[in-house]
Amino acid sequence: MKAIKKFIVKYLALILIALLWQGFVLAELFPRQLFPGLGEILLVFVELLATSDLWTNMGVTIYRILIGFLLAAIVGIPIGIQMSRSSFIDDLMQPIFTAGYPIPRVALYPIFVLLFGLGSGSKIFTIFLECIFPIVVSTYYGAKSVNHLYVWSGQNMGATDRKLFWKVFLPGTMPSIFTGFRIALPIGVVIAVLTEMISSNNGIGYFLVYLSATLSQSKVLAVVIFISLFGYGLDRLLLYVRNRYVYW
Amino acid sequence: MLSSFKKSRFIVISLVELLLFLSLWQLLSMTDWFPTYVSSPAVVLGIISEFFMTGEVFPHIGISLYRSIVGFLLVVLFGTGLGILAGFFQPIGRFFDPVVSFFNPIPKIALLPVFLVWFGVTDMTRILIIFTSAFFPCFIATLDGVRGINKLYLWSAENMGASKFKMLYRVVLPAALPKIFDGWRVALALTFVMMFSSEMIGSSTGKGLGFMILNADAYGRTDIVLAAVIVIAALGFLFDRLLIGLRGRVLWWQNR
Repeated sequence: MKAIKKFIVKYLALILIALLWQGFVLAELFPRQLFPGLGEILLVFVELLATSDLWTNMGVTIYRILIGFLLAAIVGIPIGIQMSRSSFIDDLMQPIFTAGYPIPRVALYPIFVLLFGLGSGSKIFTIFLECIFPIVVSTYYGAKSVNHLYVWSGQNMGATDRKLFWKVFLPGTMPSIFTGFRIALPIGVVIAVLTEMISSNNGIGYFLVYLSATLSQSKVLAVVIFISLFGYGLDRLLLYVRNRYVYW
Repeated sequence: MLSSFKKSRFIVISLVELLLFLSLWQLLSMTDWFPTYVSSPAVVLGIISEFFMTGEVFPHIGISLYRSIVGFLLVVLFGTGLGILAGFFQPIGRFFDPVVSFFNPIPKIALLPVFLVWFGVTDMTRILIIFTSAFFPCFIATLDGVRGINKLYLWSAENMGASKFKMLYRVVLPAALPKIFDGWRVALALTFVMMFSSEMIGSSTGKGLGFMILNADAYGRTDIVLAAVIVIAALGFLFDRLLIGLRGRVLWWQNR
Protein backbone atom coordinates (compact mmCIF):
# COMPACT_ATOMS: atom_id res chain seq x y z
CA MET A 1 0.00 0.00 0.00
CA LYS A 2 2.76 2.35 0.95
CA ALA A 3 4.65 1.51 -2.21
CA ILE A 4 1.60 2.29 -4.34
CA LYS A 5 1.14 5.61 -2.60
CA LYS A 6 4.76 6.46 -3.11
CA PHE A 7 4.48 5.56 -6.77
CA ILE A 8 1.42 7.74 -7.21
CA VAL A 9 3.05 10.70 -5.50
CA LYS A 10 6.19 10.34 -7.55
CA TYR A 11 4.45 10.15 -10.91
CA LEU A 12 1.50 12.36 -10.00
CA ALA A 13 2.01 14.72 -12.93
CA LEU A 14 2.13 11.96 -15.52
CA ILE A 15 -0.90 10.25 -14.03
CA LEU A 16 -2.82 13.51 -14.11
CA ILE A 17 -1.88 14.08 -17.75
CA ALA A 18 -2.96 10.55 -18.65
CA LEU A 19 -6.26 10.98 -16.82
CA LEU A 20 -6.87 14.30 -18.50
CA TRP A 21 -6.17 12.74 -21.88
CA GLN A 22 -8.54 9.86 -21.24
CA GLY A 23 -11.11 12.33 -19.94
CA PHE A 24 -10.97 14.18 -23.25
CA VAL A 25 -11.37 10.91 -25.11
CA LEU A 26 -14.34 9.79 -23.03
CA ALA A 27 -16.01 13.18 -23.29
CA GLU A 28 -15.76 12.78 -27.08
CA LEU A 29 -14.94 16.43 -27.57
CA PHE A 30 -12.94 15.46 -30.61
CA PRO A 31 -13.52 12.65 -33.09
CA ARG A 32 -11.91 9.38 -32.01
CA GLN A 33 -9.91 9.22 -35.18
CA LEU A 34 -8.11 12.46 -34.36
CA PHE A 35 -7.81 12.02 -30.63
CA PRO A 36 -7.33 8.34 -29.84
CA GLY A 37 -7.28 6.88 -26.36
CA LEU A 38 -4.02 5.91 -24.71
CA GLY A 39 -4.90 2.22 -24.75
CA GLU A 40 -5.47 2.33 -28.48
CA ILE A 41 -2.15 4.09 -29.04
CA LEU A 42 -0.33 1.42 -27.06
CA LEU A 43 -2.09 -1.31 -29.00
CA VAL A 44 -1.15 0.31 -32.31
CA PHE A 45 2.38 0.75 -31.03
CA VAL A 46 2.73 -2.97 -30.36
CA GLU A 47 1.21 -3.78 -33.74
CA LEU A 48 3.56 -1.35 -35.41
CA LEU A 49 6.60 -3.03 -33.90
CA ALA A 50 5.73 -6.14 -35.88
CA THR A 51 5.57 -4.36 -39.24
CA SER A 52 8.56 -4.14 -41.53
CA ASP A 53 7.68 -0.59 -42.63
CA LEU A 54 8.75 0.81 -39.32
CA TRP A 55 12.03 -1.05 -39.15
CA THR A 56 13.18 -0.42 -42.71
CA ASN A 57 12.46 3.29 -42.38
CA MET A 58 14.06 3.41 -38.97
CA GLY A 59 17.12 1.63 -40.31
CA VAL A 60 17.60 4.32 -42.94
CA THR A 61 17.23 7.04 -40.32
CA ILE A 62 19.65 5.38 -37.91
CA TYR A 63 22.19 5.04 -40.70
CA ARG A 64 21.94 8.76 -41.50
CA ILE A 65 22.16 9.84 -37.88
CA LEU A 66 25.15 7.65 -37.13
CA ILE A 67 27.15 8.61 -40.22
CA GLY A 68 26.45 12.33 -39.75
CA PHE A 69 27.24 12.13 -36.06
CA LEU A 70 30.43 10.12 -36.52
CA LEU A 71 31.68 12.51 -39.21
CA ALA A 72 30.99 15.42 -36.89
CA ALA A 73 32.92 13.68 -34.11
CA ILE A 74 35.86 12.73 -36.34
CA VAL A 75 36.17 16.25 -37.71
CA GLY A 76 35.04 18.16 -34.65
CA ILE A 77 37.21 16.67 -31.90
CA PRO A 78 40.59 17.41 -33.57
CA ILE A 79 39.39 20.92 -34.46
CA GLY A 80 38.38 21.59 -30.87
CA ILE A 81 41.66 20.27 -29.48
CA GLN A 82 43.82 22.11 -31.99
CA MET A 83 41.90 25.31 -31.28
CA SER A 84 42.80 25.04 -27.64
CA ARG A 85 46.48 24.46 -28.46
CA SER A 86 47.36 26.98 -31.11
CA SER A 87 46.24 30.58 -30.86
CA PHE A 88 46.50 30.87 -34.65
CA ILE A 89 43.93 28.13 -35.25
CA ASP A 90 41.89 29.53 -32.39
CA ASP A 91 41.79 32.96 -34.08
CA LEU A 92 40.92 31.32 -37.36
CA MET A 93 38.13 29.05 -36.15
CA GLN A 94 36.69 31.01 -33.24
CA PRO A 95 34.60 33.38 -35.42
CA ILE A 96 33.10 30.46 -37.31
CA PHE A 97 32.04 28.67 -34.18
CA THR A 98 30.96 31.63 -32.07
CA ALA A 99 29.36 33.79 -34.70
CA GLY A 100 27.98 30.80 -36.58
CA TYR A 101 26.44 29.20 -33.52
CA PRO A 102 23.12 31.09 -33.44
CA ILE A 103 22.58 30.77 -37.18
CA PRO A 104 19.96 28.13 -38.03
CA ARG A 105 22.01 25.87 -40.27
CA VAL A 106 19.08 23.64 -41.21
CA ALA A 107 17.86 26.51 -43.37
CA LEU A 108 20.59 25.53 -45.81
CA TYR A 109 18.99 22.13 -46.29
CA PRO A 110 17.26 23.00 -49.61
CA ILE A 111 20.67 23.97 -51.00
CA PHE A 112 22.18 20.69 -49.84
CA VAL A 113 19.39 18.84 -51.57
CA LEU A 114 20.51 20.44 -54.81
CA LEU A 115 24.15 19.69 -54.11
CA PHE A 116 23.88 16.14 -52.78
CA GLY A 117 20.53 14.98 -54.06
CA LEU A 118 17.37 13.89 -52.33
CA GLY A 119 18.94 10.76 -50.86
CA SER A 120 20.96 10.30 -47.72
CA GLY A 121 23.76 12.70 -48.71
CA SER A 122 21.92 15.94 -48.05
CA LYS A 123 20.53 14.66 -44.76
CA ILE A 124 23.87 13.38 -43.54
CA PHE A 125 25.51 16.67 -44.38
CA THR A 126 22.86 18.68 -42.53
CA ILE A 127 23.17 16.38 -39.50
CA PHE A 128 26.94 16.71 -39.66
CA LEU A 129 26.73 20.49 -39.76
CA GLU A 130 24.36 20.71 -36.80
CA CYS A 131 26.24 18.14 -34.70
CA ILE A 132 29.72 19.55 -35.19
CA PHE A 133 29.03 22.83 -33.39
CA PRO A 134 28.30 21.48 -29.90
CA ILE A 135 31.08 18.90 -30.27
CA VAL A 136 33.73 21.48 -31.22
CA VAL A 137 32.63 23.95 -28.55
CA SER A 138 32.62 21.49 -25.68
CA THR A 139 35.86 19.83 -26.84
CA TYR A 140 37.45 23.27 -26.99
CA TYR A 141 36.48 24.22 -23.46
CA GLY A 142 37.38 20.76 -22.19
CA ALA A 143 40.83 20.81 -23.80
CA LYS A 144 41.44 24.32 -22.47
CA SER A 145 41.05 23.02 -18.96
CA VAL A 146 43.42 20.09 -19.37
CA ASN A 147 45.98 20.51 -16.63
CA HIS A 148 49.09 22.16 -18.04
CA LEU A 149 51.28 20.00 -15.83
CA TYR A 150 50.26 16.94 -17.82
CA VAL A 151 51.10 18.64 -21.09
CA TRP A 152 54.41 19.90 -19.79
CA SER A 153 55.44 16.58 -18.36
CA GLY A 154 54.42 14.88 -21.58
CA GLN A 155 56.52 17.32 -23.57
CA ASN A 156 59.33 16.98 -21.10
CA MET A 157 59.43 13.26 -21.61
CA GLY A 158 59.75 13.84 -25.32
CA ALA A 159 56.24 13.15 -26.55
CA THR A 160 55.63 14.17 -30.14
CA ASP A 161 52.63 16.26 -31.10
CA ARG A 162 50.82 13.21 -32.37
CA LYS A 163 51.54 11.34 -29.18
CA LEU A 164 50.48 14.31 -27.09
CA PHE A 165 47.15 14.35 -28.92
CA TRP A 166 46.41 10.66 -28.40
CA LYS A 167 47.88 10.20 -24.95
CA VAL A 168 47.25 13.50 -23.18
CA PHE A 169 44.66 15.71 -24.84
CA LEU A 170 42.18 13.12 -26.02
CA PRO A 171 41.88 11.27 -22.69
CA GLY A 172 41.99 14.51 -20.74
CA THR A 173 39.17 15.98 -22.79
CA MET A 174 37.05 12.84 -23.01
CA PRO A 175 34.52 13.84 -20.30
CA SER A 176 33.82 17.15 -22.04
CA ILE A 177 33.67 15.43 -25.40
CA PHE A 178 30.95 13.17 -24.06
CA THR A 179 29.07 16.22 -22.81
CA GLY A 180 29.22 17.51 -26.37
CA PHE A 181 28.06 14.14 -27.68
CA ARG A 182 25.07 14.18 -25.38
CA ILE A 183 24.04 17.56 -26.76
CA ALA A 184 24.79 16.67 -30.37
CA LEU A 185 23.10 13.28 -30.62
CA PRO A 186 19.53 14.43 -29.81
CA ILE A 187 20.06 17.29 -32.27
CA GLY A 188 21.08 14.69 -34.85
CA VAL A 189 17.86 12.77 -34.25
CA VAL A 190 15.75 15.91 -34.57
CA ILE A 191 17.51 17.02 -37.75
CA ALA A 192 17.20 13.57 -39.30
CA VAL A 193 13.45 13.47 -38.66
CA LEU A 194 13.06 17.07 -39.74
CA THR A 195 14.91 16.78 -43.04
CA GLU A 196 13.10 13.56 -43.84
CA MET A 197 9.82 15.31 -43.19
CA ILE A 198 10.69 18.16 -45.52
CA SER A 199 11.60 16.01 -48.47
CA SER A 200 12.34 12.33 -48.63
CA ASN A 201 10.98 9.03 -49.78
CA ASN A 202 12.21 6.94 -46.91
CA GLY A 203 13.20 7.27 -43.29
CA ILE A 204 11.14 7.63 -40.15
CA GLY A 205 10.33 11.30 -40.79
CA TYR A 206 8.86 10.38 -44.15
CA PHE A 207 6.94 7.56 -42.48
CA LEU A 208 5.44 10.06 -40.03
CA VAL A 209 4.30 12.41 -42.78
CA TYR A 210 2.94 9.49 -44.76
CA LEU A 211 0.93 8.20 -41.79
CA SER A 212 -0.28 11.67 -41.01
CA ALA A 213 -1.53 12.08 -44.56
CA THR A 214 -3.65 8.96 -44.11
CA LEU A 215 -5.11 10.62 -41.00
CA SER A 216 -4.32 7.73 -38.70
CA GLN A 217 -3.46 9.80 -35.67
CA SER A 218 -2.98 6.79 -33.39
CA LYS A 219 -0.28 5.44 -35.69
CA VAL A 220 1.44 8.83 -35.83
CA LEU A 221 1.46 9.02 -32.04
CA ALA A 222 2.77 5.47 -31.83
CA VAL A 223 5.66 6.41 -34.13
CA VAL A 224 6.32 9.49 -32.01
CA ILE A 225 6.57 7.21 -28.98
CA PHE A 226 8.89 4.93 -30.90
CA ILE A 227 11.21 7.80 -31.90
CA SER A 228 11.23 9.10 -28.33
CA LEU A 229 12.16 5.69 -26.98
CA PHE A 230 14.88 5.50 -29.60
CA GLY A 231 16.27 8.90 -28.62
CA TYR A 232 16.11 7.96 -24.96
CA GLY A 233 17.86 4.66 -25.62
CA LEU A 234 20.60 6.41 -27.60
CA ASP A 235 21.26 8.76 -24.70
CA ARG A 236 21.37 5.84 -22.25
CA LEU A 237 23.79 4.02 -24.54
CA LEU A 238 26.05 7.06 -24.63
CA LEU A 239 25.98 7.30 -20.83
CA TYR A 240 26.76 3.61 -20.58
CA VAL A 241 29.72 3.90 -22.94
CA ARG A 242 30.99 6.90 -21.02
CA ASN A 243 30.74 5.22 -17.66
CA ARG A 244 32.28 2.04 -18.99
CA TYR A 245 35.23 3.46 -20.91
CA VAL A 246 35.80 6.93 -19.50
CA TYR A 247 36.21 5.71 -15.98
CA TRP A 248 38.71 8.35 -14.90
CA MET B 1 41.63 47.59 -22.58
CA LEU B 2 42.99 44.24 -23.52
CA SER B 3 39.55 42.77 -23.88
CA SER B 4 38.39 45.53 -26.23
CA PHE B 5 41.52 45.03 -28.31
CA LYS B 6 40.79 41.31 -28.43
CA LYS B 7 37.21 42.01 -29.36
CA SER B 8 38.04 44.28 -32.27
CA ARG B 9 40.64 41.77 -33.49
CA PHE B 10 37.97 39.09 -33.34
CA ILE B 11 35.61 41.20 -35.43
CA VAL B 12 38.32 42.00 -37.98
CA ILE B 13 39.22 38.33 -38.35
CA SER B 14 35.55 37.37 -38.76
CA LEU B 15 35.03 39.98 -41.44
CA VAL B 16 38.17 38.95 -43.31
CA GLU B 17 37.07 35.33 -43.25
CA LEU B 18 33.61 36.24 -44.46
CA LEU B 19 35.06 38.33 -47.30
CA LEU B 20 37.46 35.52 -48.25
CA PHE B 21 34.61 33.04 -48.32
CA LEU B 22 32.43 35.32 -50.42
CA SER B 23 35.17 36.11 -52.91
CA LEU B 24 36.08 32.44 -53.23
CA TRP B 25 32.44 31.64 -53.89
CA GLN B 26 32.24 34.48 -56.41
CA LEU B 27 35.39 33.32 -58.21
CA LEU B 28 34.23 29.71 -58.31
CA SER B 29 30.83 30.71 -59.62
CA MET B 30 32.47 32.56 -62.49
CA THR B 31 34.24 29.41 -63.64
CA ASP B 32 32.34 27.07 -65.88
CA TRP B 33 32.58 23.85 -63.94
CA PHE B 34 30.72 25.22 -60.97
CA PRO B 35 27.01 24.37 -61.28
CA THR B 36 24.88 27.41 -61.99
CA TYR B 37 22.32 26.57 -59.33
CA VAL B 38 24.86 27.43 -56.66
CA SER B 39 24.43 31.01 -57.83
CA SER B 40 26.92 33.68 -56.81
CA PRO B 41 27.24 36.16 -53.95
CA ALA B 42 26.75 39.11 -56.27
CA VAL B 43 23.44 37.75 -57.53
CA VAL B 44 22.27 36.80 -54.05
CA LEU B 45 23.20 40.19 -52.61
CA GLY B 46 21.41 41.83 -55.49
CA ILE B 47 18.29 39.86 -54.65
CA ILE B 48 18.54 40.73 -50.97
CA SER B 49 18.79 44.43 -51.74
CA GLU B 50 15.89 44.04 -54.15
CA PHE B 51 13.93 42.36 -51.33
CA PHE B 52 14.35 45.38 -49.17
CA MET B 53 13.93 47.97 -51.92
CA THR B 54 10.61 46.60 -53.10
CA GLY B 55 9.60 45.76 -49.56
CA GLU B 56 8.11 42.43 -50.62
CA VAL B 57 10.11 40.60 -47.96
CA PHE B 58 8.80 42.60 -45.02
CA PRO B 59 5.47 40.77 -44.64
CA HIS B 60 7.39 37.45 -44.67
CA ILE B 61 9.88 38.66 -42.09
CA GLY B 62 7.09 40.14 -40.01
CA ILE B 63 5.03 36.99 -39.85
CA SER B 64 8.07 34.78 -39.21
CA LEU B 65 9.28 37.04 -36.45
CA TYR B 66 5.80 37.22 -34.97
CA ARG B 67 5.69 33.41 -34.71
CA SER B 68 9.16 33.04 -33.26
CA ILE B 69 8.91 35.93 -30.83
CA VAL B 70 5.52 34.92 -29.47
CA GLY B 71 6.85 31.37 -29.08
CA PHE B 72 10.01 32.61 -27.43
CA LEU B 73 8.19 34.93 -25.03
CA LEU B 74 5.88 32.10 -24.00
CA VAL B 75 8.94 29.96 -23.34
CA VAL B 76 10.53 32.72 -21.30
CA LEU B 77 7.34 33.22 -19.32
CA PHE B 78 6.50 29.58 -18.62
CA GLY B 79 9.93 28.00 -18.80
CA THR B 80 11.60 30.48 -16.50
CA GLY B 81 8.60 30.96 -14.24
CA LEU B 82 7.91 27.28 -13.72
CA GLY B 83 11.64 26.56 -13.54
CA ILE B 84 12.10 29.00 -10.68
CA LEU B 85 9.06 27.68 -8.83
CA ALA B 86 10.13 24.07 -9.37
CA GLY B 87 13.64 24.83 -8.20
CA PHE B 88 12.59 26.83 -5.17
CA PHE B 89 9.64 24.84 -3.84
CA GLN B 90 10.61 21.21 -3.49
CA PRO B 91 7.14 19.67 -3.89
CA ILE B 92 6.63 21.50 -7.18
CA GLY B 93 10.04 20.31 -8.29
CA ARG B 94 9.14 16.72 -7.50
CA PHE B 95 5.86 17.16 -9.33
CA PHE B 96 7.63 18.28 -12.52
CA ASP B 97 10.57 15.86 -12.48
CA PRO B 98 8.76 12.94 -14.16
CA VAL B 99 7.24 15.30 -16.72
CA VAL B 100 10.70 16.45 -17.73
CA SER B 101 12.20 12.98 -17.91
CA PHE B 102 9.22 11.72 -19.90
CA PHE B 103 8.66 14.54 -22.38
CA ASN B 104 12.17 15.91 -22.78
CA PRO B 105 13.52 12.99 -24.89
CA ILE B 106 10.67 13.34 -27.40
CA PRO B 107 12.02 14.97 -30.56
CA LYS B 108 9.35 17.67 -30.64
CA ILE B 109 9.49 18.01 -34.39
CA ALA B 110 7.88 14.58 -34.61
CA LEU B 111 4.83 16.11 -32.93
CA LEU B 112 4.35 18.53 -35.81
CA PRO B 113 2.13 16.15 -37.83
CA VAL B 114 0.07 15.55 -34.70
CA PHE B 115 -0.42 19.25 -34.08
CA LEU B 116 -1.14 19.81 -37.76
CA VAL B 117 -4.05 17.41 -37.57
CA TRP B 118 -5.36 18.91 -34.35
CA PHE B 119 -4.99 22.59 -35.05
CA GLY B 120 -4.63 22.75 -38.82
CA VAL B 121 -2.11 24.80 -40.75
CA THR B 122 -2.33 27.77 -38.42
CA ASP B 123 -0.04 29.99 -36.42
CA MET B 124 -1.30 28.13 -33.36
CA THR B 125 0.37 24.94 -34.61
CA ARG B 126 3.64 26.69 -35.35
CA ILE B 127 3.81 28.61 -32.10
CA LEU B 128 2.94 25.44 -30.22
CA ILE B 129 5.74 23.46 -31.87
CA ILE B 130 8.18 26.31 -31.20
CA PHE B 131 7.02 26.43 -27.59
CA THR B 132 7.28 22.68 -26.96
CA SER B 133 10.75 22.55 -28.53
CA ALA B 134 12.24 25.48 -26.67
CA PHE B 135 10.44 25.02 -23.35
CA PHE B 136 12.54 22.20 -21.91
CA PRO B 137 16.03 23.67 -22.41
CA CYS B 138 14.84 26.87 -20.76
CA PHE B 139 13.03 25.06 -17.94
CA ILE B 140 15.95 22.72 -17.23
CA ALA B 141 18.54 25.51 -17.28
CA THR B 142 16.45 27.59 -14.89
CA LEU B 143 15.89 24.62 -12.60
CA ASP B 144 19.62 23.88 -12.53
CA GLY B 145 20.37 27.52 -11.86
CA VAL B 146 17.98 27.73 -8.93
CA ARG B 147 19.03 24.40 -7.46
CA GLY B 148 22.69 25.39 -7.74
CA ILE B 149 22.31 28.55 -5.67
CA ASN B 150 24.58 28.71 -2.68
CA LYS B 151 22.37 27.70 0.26
CA LEU B 152 24.08 30.29 2.44
CA TYR B 153 22.41 33.09 0.49
CA LEU B 154 19.00 31.56 1.06
CA TRP B 155 19.62 30.90 4.71
CA SER B 156 20.89 34.39 5.40
CA ALA B 157 17.91 35.91 3.59
CA GLU B 158 15.60 33.70 5.60
CA ASN B 159 17.43 34.59 8.73
CA MET B 160 17.00 38.28 8.09
CA GLY B 161 13.29 37.74 7.82
CA ALA B 162 12.76 37.96 4.08
CA SER B 163 9.38 36.75 2.89
CA LYS B 164 9.19 33.93 0.34
CA PHE B 165 8.30 36.39 -2.38
CA LYS B 166 11.12 38.72 -1.48
CA MET B 167 13.56 35.82 -1.46
CA LEU B 168 12.45 34.77 -4.92
CA TYR B 169 12.78 38.26 -6.27
CA ARG B 170 15.89 39.49 -4.46
CA VAL B 171 17.96 36.33 -4.05
CA VAL B 172 16.86 33.47 -6.27
CA LEU B 173 16.25 35.40 -9.48
CA PRO B 174 19.56 37.33 -9.55
CA ALA B 175 21.58 34.31 -8.47
CA ALA B 176 20.06 32.04 -11.09
CA LEU B 177 20.07 34.63 -13.86
CA PRO B 178 23.36 33.61 -15.54
CA LYS B 179 22.04 30.07 -16.00
CA ILE B 180 18.65 31.39 -17.06
CA PHE B 181 20.30 33.45 -19.78
CA ASP B 182 22.15 30.34 -21.00
CA GLY B 183 18.79 28.60 -21.25
CA TRP B 184 17.29 31.54 -23.12
CA ARG B 185 20.12 31.51 -25.65
CA VAL B 186 19.59 27.84 -26.42
CA ALA B 187 15.84 28.40 -26.56
CA LEU B 188 16.23 31.34 -28.93
CA ALA B 189 18.36 29.34 -31.37
CA LEU B 190 15.81 26.50 -31.26
CA THR B 191 13.02 29.00 -31.82
CA PHE B 192 14.49 30.04 -35.14
CA VAL B 193 15.14 26.48 -36.27
CA MET B 194 11.59 25.49 -35.43
CA MET B 195 10.13 28.61 -37.03
CA PHE B 196 11.88 27.71 -40.25
CA SER B 197 10.96 24.03 -40.15
CA SER B 198 7.33 24.51 -39.21
CA GLU B 199 6.97 26.89 -42.12
CA MET B 200 8.72 24.49 -44.49
CA ILE B 201 6.62 21.48 -43.55
CA GLY B 202 3.31 22.87 -42.51
CA SER B 203 2.48 25.53 -44.99
CA SER B 204 1.21 25.15 -48.48
CA THR B 205 -0.04 28.70 -48.64
CA GLY B 206 0.74 31.73 -46.61
CA LYS B 207 3.62 33.88 -45.63
CA GLY B 208 6.88 33.48 -43.81
CA LEU B 209 10.53 33.04 -44.66
CA GLY B 210 10.38 29.25 -44.60
CA PHE B 211 7.45 29.32 -46.96
CA MET B 212 9.36 31.72 -49.18
CA ILE B 213 12.22 29.22 -49.39
CA LEU B 214 9.84 26.37 -50.13
CA ASN B 215 8.14 28.35 -52.85
CA ALA B 216 11.38 29.54 -54.48
CA ASP B 217 12.75 26.01 -54.28
CA ALA B 218 9.73 24.69 -56.13
CA TYR B 219 10.40 27.13 -58.96
CA GLY B 220 14.11 26.30 -58.97
CA ARG B 221 15.09 29.82 -57.95
CA THR B 222 18.09 28.91 -55.81
CA ASP B 223 19.20 32.52 -55.72
CA ILE B 224 16.01 33.45 -53.88
CA VAL B 225 16.43 30.42 -51.61
CA LEU B 226 19.93 31.52 -50.70
CA ALA B 227 18.83 35.11 -50.17
CA ALA B 228 16.04 34.00 -47.82
CA VAL B 229 18.45 31.67 -45.98
CA ILE B 230 20.82 34.59 -45.48
CA VAL B 231 17.97 36.73 -44.15
CA ILE B 232 17.03 33.98 -41.66
CA ALA B 233 20.65 33.55 -40.63
CA ALA B 234 21.04 37.30 -40.16
CA LEU B 235 17.88 37.44 -38.04
CA GLY B 236 19.08 34.54 -35.88
CA PHE B 237 22.43 36.22 -35.42
CA LEU B 238 20.87 39.62 -34.70
CA PHE B 239 18.53 38.31 -32.03
CA ASP B 240 21.32 36.36 -30.39
CA ARG B 241 23.35 39.58 -30.23
CA LEU B 242 20.36 41.39 -28.74
CA LEU B 243 20.07 38.74 -26.05
CA ILE B 244 23.79 38.94 -25.29
CA GLY B 245 23.52 42.72 -25.13
CA LEU B 246 20.64 42.41 -22.70
CA ARG B 247 22.65 39.96 -20.67
CA GLY B 248 25.54 42.40 -20.45
CA ARG B 249 23.16 45.07 -19.17
CA VAL B 250 21.35 42.95 -16.65
CA LEU B 251 24.28 40.89 -15.49
CA TRP B 252 26.73 43.76 -15.21
CA TRP B 253 28.17 42.29 -12.02
CA GLN B 254 29.38 39.23 -13.92
CA ASN B 255 31.69 41.11 -16.25
CA ARG B 256 33.68 42.89 -13.59
